[in-house]
Order: sequence, then C-alpha cells, then structure tokens
Amino acid sequence: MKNIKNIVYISLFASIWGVIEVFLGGYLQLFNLPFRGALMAGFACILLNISKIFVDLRGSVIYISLITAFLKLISFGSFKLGPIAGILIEGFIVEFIYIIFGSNNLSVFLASLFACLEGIPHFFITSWIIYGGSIFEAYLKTIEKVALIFKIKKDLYLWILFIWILGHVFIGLISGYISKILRERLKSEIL
Amino acid sequence: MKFYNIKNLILIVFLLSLFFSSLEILLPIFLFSVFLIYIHSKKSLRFSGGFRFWIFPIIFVSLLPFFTGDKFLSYSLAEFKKAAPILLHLYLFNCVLNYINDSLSINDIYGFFKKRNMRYVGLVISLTLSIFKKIRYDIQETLIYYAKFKGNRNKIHKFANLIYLIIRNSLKTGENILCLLYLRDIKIKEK
Repeated sequence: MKNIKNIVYISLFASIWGVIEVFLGGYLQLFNLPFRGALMAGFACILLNISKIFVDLRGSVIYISLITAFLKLISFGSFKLGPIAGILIEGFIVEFIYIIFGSNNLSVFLASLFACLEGIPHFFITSWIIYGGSIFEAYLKTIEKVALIFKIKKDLYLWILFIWILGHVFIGLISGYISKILRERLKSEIL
Repeated sequence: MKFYNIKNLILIVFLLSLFFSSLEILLPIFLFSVFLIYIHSKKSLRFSGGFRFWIFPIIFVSLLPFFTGDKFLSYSLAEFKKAAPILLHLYLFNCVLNYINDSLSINDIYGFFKKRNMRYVGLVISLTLSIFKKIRYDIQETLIYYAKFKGNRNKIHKFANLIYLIIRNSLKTGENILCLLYLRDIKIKEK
C-alpha cells in the first residue's frame, strides 16, 4: 500500500463507493425497497471488480471497504451497523475470491454472486442483533396466521424465501455481467 | 481506563441479552443495561432513526397479540409477553448504538489504525475525504446529464454505460491528483 498510485486509486474507489452508499443507500433505505442490500452489494461489486484492474495489490479491496465503512460511519443518519457490516463483509468476500482464483472472469462472477448472497445471512443476523431471537418466532406466527386467513399453504414462506434467494442470485449475476463488460471496456480504452 | 471498562460491560450485557427472549429474564438485563448507559451517557438513551423507524415495530408488536393468540382477534397477554422482548431489544440496540456513536471520534479511529501499524490508512482517509466532495459533484452532474439522453439500448447496457461514465470521470479526477502529486514530487518510499 506504499505506492502513491495505489493510494490515490484506493481513495478514489472508496470515494465512489462512499457516495453510492451514502446517497443511493440512504434513498433505498428511505423508500424501503426490496432487495436493497443486494442492489447495494451489486453496485459495490462492479466497483470492486473494476478496482482490481487499477490496483493490483493484495488486500486493496479490504482497504477500500474499510475506508468506505469509515465514510458511512461519519455520514448523516443513524442505524448504520447493518450497512457498515455489509460493506466490510462484501470487501472480505471479494478479496478472498480474488486471492483464491486470481483476477479473471470467474472471480468477477463468483465475487459478485457471493457478495450479493451475503445479504441473506446478513438479514437474519442483523434482525437477531436488533430485535432479538423472538422476532423469528413472531415472523413465523404471522405468516402462519396470514396463510390461515387467506387459505393459502403454510409453507408459503419457503416460496417467499426461494424467490428472495433467487432475486439475490439474479442481481449477483447481472452485477457480474456488468463488471465483466466494464472491465474489458476500461482495459481497452483507458489502460 | 474506567471509561473503557463500562463501555465493555455495556457491550457484554447487550450481547448477553441476544441469547434471551423470555420477558422475565430479559427485563432485568434490559434495565441493568439502560442503567449503565444512563450513568455514563444520558443522551445515549434518545430514540434514533426517526418516527418512521419506530412506527413499524411498535404497531407490529402491539397488534401481534390480537392475531397470534388461540382466538382470532382477541387480545392474548401471553402472546404480548412473547412479543414485548422485540421492542426491548430494539430500544436497547438503539441505546448501545447511540452510546458507541457518541463516544467514538475520528482521532480514536486514526489511533486504532496507527496502533496496528496501518498508518497509511490514515493517509488514504485524508485523501478520500478531500476528494469525496468532488466525486459526489461529478456523479450528480453525470446523473443529470445522463437523464437527459434516452438511448435505444436495453436497460442493462444503459446502466452499464452509466456506471462506465461515473468511473471514467472519477478516474480523470484520480489522474489529476496523481499528476499534482508527481509534479510536487510527493513520494511514499517503497521499503
């Protein structure tokens, strides 16, 4: 991390991610849009995958995520635990995949997919931390009663869960595809 | 030193509370945590997150006993006892987070990185903070400009183009900073 070029590019990508997190993340949170975590992870993955062609350094993505988490921490709004944890976890996932598979198209897709899927355990863990263990029982009971009132199958929640996971996978793949296109384009036009 | 002990105690008690969902056990833990926060930082007991954040859990917990009891639409005290810990957890989480936010400063974060021999993170943070505004302005300008032109290509390609524009414009900012640093002969020695 001692090369000035690396430092500038790390700051640059952290700034872009920070702007997206602070403003777009804030709007998505405000309107309670579904899949907002996966969408933010998708954006982040595009940036992180591209950053790897400019900063050829092991751990660079972890640095970028640390700085972005810091930007999120000092931004306005409260309850930043979820997004900050998300930023750091996504950074670690992407870096881990690049360390194992190197910088290629497979890493691009895997990193995007796994970073977007991170939203699923993330939701359960943050719900547990914020509301405690009783929230899951309450959710299941509500689903059971709603199913009873509308005379739909009790295992409806499994379908909802399936669609939810599928949505994350879809966003991850789209993010991987966009990352791939942009990496090739930026490589040929700028580098 | 004493300050950090209380801080740790608050965090430990909060973590402990995550493993209990029975009102009888949770209530003393909740009161003890609130008391600890109260004696150290009264203002951390405020409600954060705005009206919209609190309204959903309050309505959810209040209405749950009407629907999840044995008889439909009759209030069940037993169900209320099961649901009440959700609100207690939420308020406790809010207070702990306020407490952490209130007691955390930028100097603490710099100190944290310096202690772990990561002093370049401090440099990246400073650089990021200085270019954050410029990047934000550039992204806003790109979004306004891009919204005026509606291409015929599909949405994924349009979105990819937008991200490409944002990154390309930001990279220009990065190159300008690099030029400036090279012109001023600012180097960070490689070991």
